[in-house]
Amino acid sequence: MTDHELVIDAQALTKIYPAQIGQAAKTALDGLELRVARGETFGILGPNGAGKTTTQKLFLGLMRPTKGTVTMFGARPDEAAVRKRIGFLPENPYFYNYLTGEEFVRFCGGLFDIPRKTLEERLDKLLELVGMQSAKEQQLRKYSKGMLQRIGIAQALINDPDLVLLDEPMSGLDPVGRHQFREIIKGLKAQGKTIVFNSHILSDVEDICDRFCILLHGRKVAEGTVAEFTSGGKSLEEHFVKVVNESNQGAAMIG
Amino acid sequence: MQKIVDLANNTFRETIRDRVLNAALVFAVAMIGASVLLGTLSIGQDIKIMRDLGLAAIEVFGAAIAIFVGTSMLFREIDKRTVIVVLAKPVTRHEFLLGKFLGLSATLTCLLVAMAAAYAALLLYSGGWDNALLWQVALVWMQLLVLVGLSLMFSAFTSPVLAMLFTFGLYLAGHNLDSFKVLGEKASPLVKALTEALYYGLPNFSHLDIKNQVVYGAPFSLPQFGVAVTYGAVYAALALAVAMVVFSRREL
Amino acid sequence: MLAQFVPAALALLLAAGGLSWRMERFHQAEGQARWIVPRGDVVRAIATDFENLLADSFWLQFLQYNGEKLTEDPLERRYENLLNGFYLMTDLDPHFRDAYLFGSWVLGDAGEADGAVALLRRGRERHPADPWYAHQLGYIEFLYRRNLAGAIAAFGDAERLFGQGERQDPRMALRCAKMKAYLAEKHDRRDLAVRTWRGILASARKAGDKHMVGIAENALRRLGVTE
Repeated sequence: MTDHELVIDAQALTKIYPAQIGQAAKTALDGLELRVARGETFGILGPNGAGKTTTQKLFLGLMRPTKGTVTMFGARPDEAAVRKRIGFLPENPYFYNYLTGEEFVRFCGGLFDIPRKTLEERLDKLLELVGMQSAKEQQLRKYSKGMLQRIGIAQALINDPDLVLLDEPMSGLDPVGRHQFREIIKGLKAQGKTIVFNSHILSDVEDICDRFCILLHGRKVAEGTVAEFTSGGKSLEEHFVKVVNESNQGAAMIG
Repeated sequence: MQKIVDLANNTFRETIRDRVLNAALVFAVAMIGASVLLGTLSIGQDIKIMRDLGLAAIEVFGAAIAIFVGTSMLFREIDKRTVIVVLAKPVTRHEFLLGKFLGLSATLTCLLVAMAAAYAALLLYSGGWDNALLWQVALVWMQLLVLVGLSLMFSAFTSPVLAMLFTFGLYLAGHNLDSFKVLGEKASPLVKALTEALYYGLPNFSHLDIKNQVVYGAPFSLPQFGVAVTYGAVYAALALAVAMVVFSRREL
Repeated sequence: MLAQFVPAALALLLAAGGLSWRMERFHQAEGQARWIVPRGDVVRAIATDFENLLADSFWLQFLQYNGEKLTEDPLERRYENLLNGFYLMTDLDPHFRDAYLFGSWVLGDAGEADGAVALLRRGRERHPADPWYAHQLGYIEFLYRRNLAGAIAAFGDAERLFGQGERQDPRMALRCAKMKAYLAEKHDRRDLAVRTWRGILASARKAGDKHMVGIAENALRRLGVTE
């Protein structure tokens, strides 16, 4: 695989949750076309329930698309070789209660078959990077939301991934944490990693992303670079609201 | 392989640190101890009651924990979304379930050993110990493995409450299949065929239960024990295989 | 808050205890609780492989309902469901030897000697090599049924069983023989009595049991036999 190849290639990606007792069928994602190239930092923007998490689950092969296809590094997303190259942080991570932070990240590393010595070195470095060295021996049930988020980032990076998928990575972090986290992402970017993250917070996208798209009710309503959107002197927020209103999908959003 | 060991180890640590387990162990030991009290009220039957009640307590508490933890384990992973953290990594769903199975089995083994140790200590002290009793402990271990398999199987496609009900239902039925068969023998050929099918198809926990015999040190051949253990292992593997098939189709 | 809560809780607890005591008085007015014995096949069908434990629990129930009566005036005793209860215990746990043996004493005492014999026959059929059932049957036949012939036969069986196999117990075999000899004497079967006492004398001499030798010699003298 060459450097110019696409890391993510989603074509007409559609996910419909089948009807259940007391629940009608729900279209979570409708014909998404998305391509992310190597080294890009890509933001998926949208209100809660827009289909961002579904998209990432499809990227990870945790779900099968109802229609359309997605290839990751040119292969099927559920192949082990693909997953070896991906780091993933779920939304509001909540890990094994009775493990300590250190045990948990080590456990995650073990799942990648990382040699013990490399694993211990990386573990040490990552705990330092996310600022969790002092709390690494506490059980996870005693962690605050922000601490869980930090340990979540450490486990997402334990395999030194080529692609990092982050689902609402900023939620639960205080302003200092947010700042640190942006620095971490910038560091990853500098290493040439591909980063895809979901967010409903515009300023995050503005600050970090090369490109982004806006999802609304499972449909992609806009895609472009931050520069394209902020040309003409308007802020990203103004553009965003405009796009949303144009889509006639209501303005009940933006957290 | 290392992955499965890690997954099992993680499940083991997660379950053994669960407080429910401590509570169960305390209750089981208390019950084994209470058999002394009942024994003193029984006019000469103290050893018999200690043996019977102790074996029953070991089995009941072991099964309760196997069903309770076994059916909630997978649900908890899915509910807290820890499962997607693990399955986003190069881990197949089969490996994941196998790791869960082995981890909980290890925890239950520790619980069983602890309960059996308390039981043995009491009987050695009161002079009622017989090595034959260990055969039953070994078979209870097989019962617990089958229960873990069944718990995972049911929780792969239904809610924890329903999975618990189904597993417990099979446990009860599996201990009473003999009366089931007797019932069918006097019925019409169709009903008889049905009860026979259920008799051989459902997990027959009575095959893994000789507590009514070992307390009298009744003759028990090694081949019979071997067949019983193999039966338990085959049934646990069957339940686990079904769990894997169901779970691999599940959307997370 | 706590200062109000604790007295209130204590008062309620006290009230609950008092009411519970009052309820119990109602129940007592309804008369003595009966020992209810369910049908064995029903219990067995739902026993879930806990047959032994259930047998133990019925044993404890039996003691709970009937234990006091064992020490009461015999004429005042009213037992309930005794034979069914012991059938149930021994069906659930066929090895429960004390349920057969103790059960037969209680049944004999309650005027149900036929039931006692039936219970022991059951035990003997299930454990033909165990001498204790025959031994007990001898006493029941003798003491409660006045069936000397039956008692002699039973003690004879017990003597034979105590003298052979894994459960060999020469001392018990001798005791059974002694009972057999006494009963034969009582039953005007002089020949059998003499034969049995002679056997006892020989065994006792062989074992060097001087006490027993004396008893046997006295008995033979009483029967007019001189060695």
